[in-house]
Amino acid sequence: MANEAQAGTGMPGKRYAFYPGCVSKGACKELKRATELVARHLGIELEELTEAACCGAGIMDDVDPEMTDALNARTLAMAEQRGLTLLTQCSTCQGVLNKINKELQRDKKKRDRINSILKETGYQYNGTVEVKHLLWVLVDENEYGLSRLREQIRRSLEGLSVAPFYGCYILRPSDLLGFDHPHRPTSLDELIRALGATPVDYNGKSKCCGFPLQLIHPKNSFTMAGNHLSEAKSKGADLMVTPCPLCHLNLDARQPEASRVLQEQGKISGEIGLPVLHLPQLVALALGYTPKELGMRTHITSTRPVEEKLGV
Amino acid sequence: MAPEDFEKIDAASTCILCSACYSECVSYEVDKNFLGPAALAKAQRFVHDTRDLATDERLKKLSEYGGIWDCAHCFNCVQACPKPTEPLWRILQLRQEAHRRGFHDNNGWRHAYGFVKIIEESGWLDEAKLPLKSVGTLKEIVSDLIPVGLRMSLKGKYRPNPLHLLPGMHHPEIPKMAEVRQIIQRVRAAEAQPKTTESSEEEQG
Repeated sequence: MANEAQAGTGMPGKRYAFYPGCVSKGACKELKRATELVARHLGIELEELTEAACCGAGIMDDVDPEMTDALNARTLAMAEQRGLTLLTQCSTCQGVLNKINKELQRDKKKRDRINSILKETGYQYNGTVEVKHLLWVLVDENEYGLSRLREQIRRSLEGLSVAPFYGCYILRPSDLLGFDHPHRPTSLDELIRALGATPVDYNGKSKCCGFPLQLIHPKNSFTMAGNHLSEAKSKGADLMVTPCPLCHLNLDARQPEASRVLQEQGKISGEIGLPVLHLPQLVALALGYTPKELGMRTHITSTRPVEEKLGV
Repeated sequence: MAPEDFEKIDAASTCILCSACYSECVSYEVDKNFLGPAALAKAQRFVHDTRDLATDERLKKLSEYGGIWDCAHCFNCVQACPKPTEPLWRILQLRQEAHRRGFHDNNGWRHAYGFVKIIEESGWLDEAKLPLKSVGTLKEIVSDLIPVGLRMSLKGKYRPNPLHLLPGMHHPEIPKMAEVRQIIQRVRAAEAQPKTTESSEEEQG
């Protein structure tokens, strides 16, 4: 934990309302830990919204759109009360919150209707909040920015080939998000480069990881995950990095199934064996934190090859 | 046809069959049995057409393998669509209608409905409970869920309390869960009120 003592330089002291998302409190606790270490190190203040409900993950509105809108409006109102930008570490939470945020900002009739549902809770949402993903905050020079981040690097990731996996919710629909190109994104590539590593280009980087179909149509789900992992590996990637814990669950925790499905389709013979990191884990490695501090040992696909290559 | 009824099928009616959505569809890419975005948008145009009488027949077929629940929700069709059709949003409308009309015997609906029930209990997602609520057979639990659960538990990645999975039990609630319950009650009360402008869309079960 020696590295933690060195934290806290080069800070702009910006404060965010932090919406961690359910997965980072359950099956991906290592994500929340890594985000908090990175934020503390960089001097980014996080005020966690512990009372916020689940965003619905793009599933709840399949059967209950009004409840999804109302619960997310309450979350947005919490950030509004604090006068803070809402920060997520999950692409899906970000996508759901941004979609509802834009709808509530554009449609006063809808906002009034949702606010009438919120009335008894004491919350009202006036449409003034911005929702940002950690990736955007790290890349955008108006927020933290890559030039500040470069100054903080203690362990360059030089020599590592990293496949960026963007997934869907952080890119599309671009008229609701507008940060990156919906099909030819660059933000995660730029971040990888800033950390000293080399981004690997491959077709699957802006496609779906398959997670939403995991319990509905597993074969299709694992084919998607397997195709992207296998393609990235064939292009020379040492590891994959993703800004979404749901993608991480399908790409890492379900990698054994993805390997099996690809074997059945005659695409590969052995295991895929590509380590997958959460975005803040990769950043924290470059800030000097150890794989153990970052919970990398709990990943299903071993991260040892990456650690050996980095000499940590 | 009343103008407000036409509004429900207006977007889907604008499809020019350009197939840009098929070129981008990630589900169609891996499974040619998937009906695909434009066809599903067209289906929504008929399901919500007040002159059409085959609504339940259509929704039954659409709820089967290759239909509305096989969409991966990647937004590529929304991005690619040059018209207001934007198939994903039409697929969502179909899922909501299938829910209202009782087409519930599939993993897609169980997954979405199970999700809502979990949030109603505790305010946040219980990732151990949701898979159990989503699958329809014991075989899926044994062959798929138990292996991944054991794998994650052995690695120390995720060790849920098994007691929380018992009937009537749930994982700890978020702070101020009472507020979430108030919101849910209000939403349910509004849903229970008779609809004046949407009478043609009354649910059947």
